[in-house]
Order: sequence, then C-alpha cells, then structure tokens
Amino acid sequence: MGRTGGDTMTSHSDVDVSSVAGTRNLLTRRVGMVLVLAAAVVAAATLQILDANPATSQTTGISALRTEADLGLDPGDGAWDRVPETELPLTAQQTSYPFGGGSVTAVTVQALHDDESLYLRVTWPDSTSDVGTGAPEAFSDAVAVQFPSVAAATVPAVCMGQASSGVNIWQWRADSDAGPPDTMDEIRPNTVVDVPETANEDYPARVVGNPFDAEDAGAVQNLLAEGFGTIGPAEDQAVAGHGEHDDQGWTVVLRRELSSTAGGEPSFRMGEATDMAFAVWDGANEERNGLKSVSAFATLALSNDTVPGAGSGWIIPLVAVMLAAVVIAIARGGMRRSS
Amino acid sequence: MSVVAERLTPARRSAALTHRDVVPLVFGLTVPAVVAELMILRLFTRTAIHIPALEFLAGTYRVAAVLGRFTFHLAAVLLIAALSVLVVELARRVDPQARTAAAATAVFGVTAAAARLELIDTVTTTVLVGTCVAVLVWTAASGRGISSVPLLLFGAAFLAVAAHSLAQQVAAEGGPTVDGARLLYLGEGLALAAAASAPLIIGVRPSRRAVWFGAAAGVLVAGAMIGNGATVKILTLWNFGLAGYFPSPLYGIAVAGVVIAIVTAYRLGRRFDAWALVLLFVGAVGLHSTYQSGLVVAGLSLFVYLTCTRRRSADADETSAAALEA
Repeated sequence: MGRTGGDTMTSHSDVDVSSVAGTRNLLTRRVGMVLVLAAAVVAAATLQILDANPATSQTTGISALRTEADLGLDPGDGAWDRVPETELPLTAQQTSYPFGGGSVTAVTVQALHDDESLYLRVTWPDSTSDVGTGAPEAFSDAVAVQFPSVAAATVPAVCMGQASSGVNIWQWRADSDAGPPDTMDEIRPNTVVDVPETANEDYPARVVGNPFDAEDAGAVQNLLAEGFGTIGPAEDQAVAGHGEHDDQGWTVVLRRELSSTAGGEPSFRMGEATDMAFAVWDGANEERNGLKSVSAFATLALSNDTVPGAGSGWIIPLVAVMLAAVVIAIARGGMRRSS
Repeated sequence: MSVVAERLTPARRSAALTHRDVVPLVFGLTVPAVVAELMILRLFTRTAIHIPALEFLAGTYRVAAVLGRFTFHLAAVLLIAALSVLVVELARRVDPQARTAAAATAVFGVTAAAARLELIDTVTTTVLVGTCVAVLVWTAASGRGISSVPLLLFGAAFLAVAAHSLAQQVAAEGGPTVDGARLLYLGEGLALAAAASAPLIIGVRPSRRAVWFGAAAGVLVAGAMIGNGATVKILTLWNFGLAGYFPSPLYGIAVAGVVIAIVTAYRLGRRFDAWALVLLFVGAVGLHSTYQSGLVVAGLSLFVYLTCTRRRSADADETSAAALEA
C-alpha cells in the first residue's frame, strides 16, 4: 500500500537525512524529546512519592454532611430523615472464585459527620433476618464498606485492593450484632453439651486471634487487604456499628473517628475525597465470603454543609446545566465571529 | 511530496524546535505512556490475581503494581502537557473549528482542575465534561462526510453513559431517582458500533495485513470473553465503561474495527490519526475519572487539529496551483 498522505517524513524523497541541516534538526528534536520525557518522569515521580493523583474520580459522589445532632448508632434516628440518599447498584461478585451473590441489587447510602466521627447509614432490601450462624448451614446477613488505605490516593482494584494499594474494609455482621446465643438450645434444641466452658484456652479460634471470636468483638470487623486472599484484621478495631431489620430490610449505621494513625486505615479530612465501595451478603441465599453482591467505587467527600431543606437538591444540577449552556453559547459565538 | 505531510511534520528549515514540532513530540511520548498505563496498571495488576502461583511471584507482582502506578502518573503528566499544547496550537488558527475545539479543550482543562481542587461538585463536572465532549465531537465530525460516523456514534455513546452517571448524581443531590439502565445499554451498543466502524475514519480500504491483525485481535477478545467472561467483562467495565451486555462476538468485531483502523493509519504513515484513535478508545465511554475523559478530549481535539491542518494544506495547494497557472 502506498504511503501518500502520510504525516511521517521517512518516505519522502526530498528528505536528505544525510545533510548537515537534517542531522542537526533530528538531533534537536531528539534532545527536545529527551528533555520533555525527563521533565515528565520527574513530575510523575514527585506525584508518586507524594501519593498525589492529578485526576479526579467522576463516579457517583456521596457527601458526608455536617450534623450537630448527637448521633448514635440508632439506624432509626431522625437526624437521617433529610440526609440525601444515594442508591448504588450491586452485581454478583464475578472476579474471583467462588462466584456468586447478586440477590441484592442495590444499597442506599447516607453519610454524616460531626467533625469527630464519620457515620454511614446503609439500607438494603432483605425479607429475612439471618442473625444466627450456630449451625453449619446457617449464614449471616452482612454489609461491608471498603476504602483505599490512603484516602484520595490512586484507586485500587475494587475487589480487595492490590499490592502497593491496599484497602480498609469495615464489615458489619448481623450475627455479631445479635451476639452469641445464650444457650446451645437456641441453636440445637435438646443437644447435650458436656464440654465445660472455662478459660479462653478452651476457645481455639480466640487463642489463634480470630477477631470474630475475640471477647471484645463488636458488630463490625475492621479489616485490611492487598488483594484476594490477603484479608486480615487491622491492629485496632475502632469501627462501631449497629443494624436493625424490619419488613423492608436492613438499616445499618457504621461509625469511626475521622482521623486514624493506624497503618492501612484512611483518615477522612475536610476537602479531601476518597473512594468507597460496598458489598452485601444475604444469609438466606447462603452467601458468605466471595459469594456476595458488590458495588463499583463511589466517591465520598466530607462537606461543611449541613443537612439541606426540602427541595434545595435541585440547585446544583440547575447551575450545572446553566454553565453548560454558557459554554455552548460561547462556542457558537466564537464560530460565528470567526466565520 | 504530499503537502499534508509537510504541514503535519516538524519543520526542517532550521535546527531550532518550532511550535509545529511540539505536537508530534508531546503526543509521541503521551500515547506510549497511556498504552503502558493501560497494559500494566489497568490490565496486568488486575488480572495477575488470577495467576495460580501468584504467591511465588509476589515480589514481581508488587514491582509491577508500583510500576503501573508510575506509568499512570507519567501518562497523566504527559496528558496535561498534550492538552495544553493542543489548546495553544488550535487557538493560533483562524479556523473557527480550531478555535471552538481550543475553547472546549480549555474548558475541560479548567473543569478537571476545578474538580480536583473540589471547587465544583460531581454533577457540575459531569455536565461540563459531557458538554465539552459534545462540542468536540460536533467540531471534529463537521465536514468529514462518511468518516464522521464513528465519531458521532462515539459521542452519542459517551453522552448516553454520561447521562446515566448524571441521573445517579442528581439523585444523590436530593433530586428524583431515574432508572437509567436503558441509557447504559444504549451507550454500550453505540460504543460497539463506533468501534466497529472505526476504519471509516481513515477513509481508505484497509490492507490485508491490517485486516489480519484486526481479525486476530477480535478473535482473541471474543474467545477470552466466551472462555472467561467474568474476568474480561469486569475489565471492560472498569477500563472502558462496557458492562458486557451484548453477545461476545460483537465485542470481538468492535476490537477488530479499532485495530484495523489503527494499523491502517500506521501503515499509511498517518500516525496522528492512529494516536487520536488510541486516545479515543483507551479513554472510552465510562466516566471513571477526569484522566480517562482527558484522553477522550485529547483524541477528539487531535482529530480537529488534523482536519484543520489538512484543510489549510489543501488551501495552500490550491493557491500554489493558481499561482503557477497565472
């Protein structure tokens, strides 16, 4: 095929690369290219060292508005009534075996902060309340929220992060929230238990450090991961949570202090956005571990604004559309003038 | 010798770098960096987790992950330089198309910077980015005839996906909840059509070698989707905004179309067309970050730059011919 119309110089007969001018020109361009590349490499290395991302996520944004209410872990607290809701679609986990989940199609997320703690309220439909895991065939309902280990850093892989870019996961479990059953009869009626319950040493899971079995374990496990198969408990279990089930489904509130000095756990600062993803397990559907429904990353940002009044949510979209109209008008005007 | 080639390539009159040298110089670095970022960060580090013996390769994987993040930073820095150069080069032209594209590219740059500094929210960012892309598609497609079809399809796909994102964001701001799932289907279908029709942009019958390359890439992708659809689909969703709604062969055809167009452009020596195509389809239709939207904006602006340069060259040819006849 001919090369007519090309934009390279190599095929043109009138290019005398052996000429002094041609050689000098080539040299100059190569020096220019090396200089530009060197400057770009230095700038990129600086960004990498500073862990600064020049781009911004364009995913769904969730604002954690400021509240002065004395917010606790009550999912039914009236302070949540006028907090904007964001619905995040979920899909079955299809990245690593075992594939599964998908029974819950969306979660609704709200966020608040009181300058000291971040509160997330997560709601999802679930007709059954699965709070017992005493039997091998019983699985708990659960929800997890995942953040990059360094807020506002490069977005890690949404499934458990990746090497050099880990994630911090808060997992609330309905069975942990409900607490252990008082007696074995609650799980297996008429079962005779002849093992004396005495010291911690009699609980192998507790002895090996399984956080689920820890004496002070709460409803939420604070976990760290850098890819599949690497998840483990964080040093501090500083996340609290509580969920309630009604005929619509679960509503769970999660809380953690905004700042954290623990390794692998993000601090949430005013003016900084971070990515956030969700996973939901439906125990009645035998979902556990990788069998879960997952969202893509959304963006969480702390805001100085307080909870809005009714109807004010239209202002920002309206301003955005007006700005777009101005851009188009300027472009059209520019074209007319130039013509 | 082609006058088009003369106008698009670096000046040879002196050893000093001129403004015309800067565009190929910057894009010649940006496009390989963008491709490296796609291959290492977005594809390798996210698929290596499936390597059965990964625990024995943990050190290598960690190095690749760090390298992947570095290529992202490098590509982002070079992209900022490329967009700045294009704004200056397009603004220098008296051509209304070029100036409109310069304005839209500049507005995108300001929007991305304002979003990074959190001066504007996500809704405003999405609306402005969508508007900039719409203006650029309109500008790049005008006067192209049949070769405008892939660009118009791509623009429609981008706007459909952007409308879906916007609907979600408006709901998050307290507005009404809109079921935008059909917009995603529409956007994905239009994106596949844009990719499949990409050879029209080059406007030349593709060589047999280009068709073979395209067919091989298409079969590879379709085969991977049929063999391990879950992994490939999550990768296409994360990287290109395509959820995999349609039958796998259609994705193979789409990839084949893009590869045929790029190989044809390179074999014709039209590297600017090839670069613009790479940027457009690596940026793709998903509104993931201002980096990926920036790739789309750079690709479209480069198409406008090409159109205006070729038109100017054609005008110069006509003037020269008229002078000779006189």
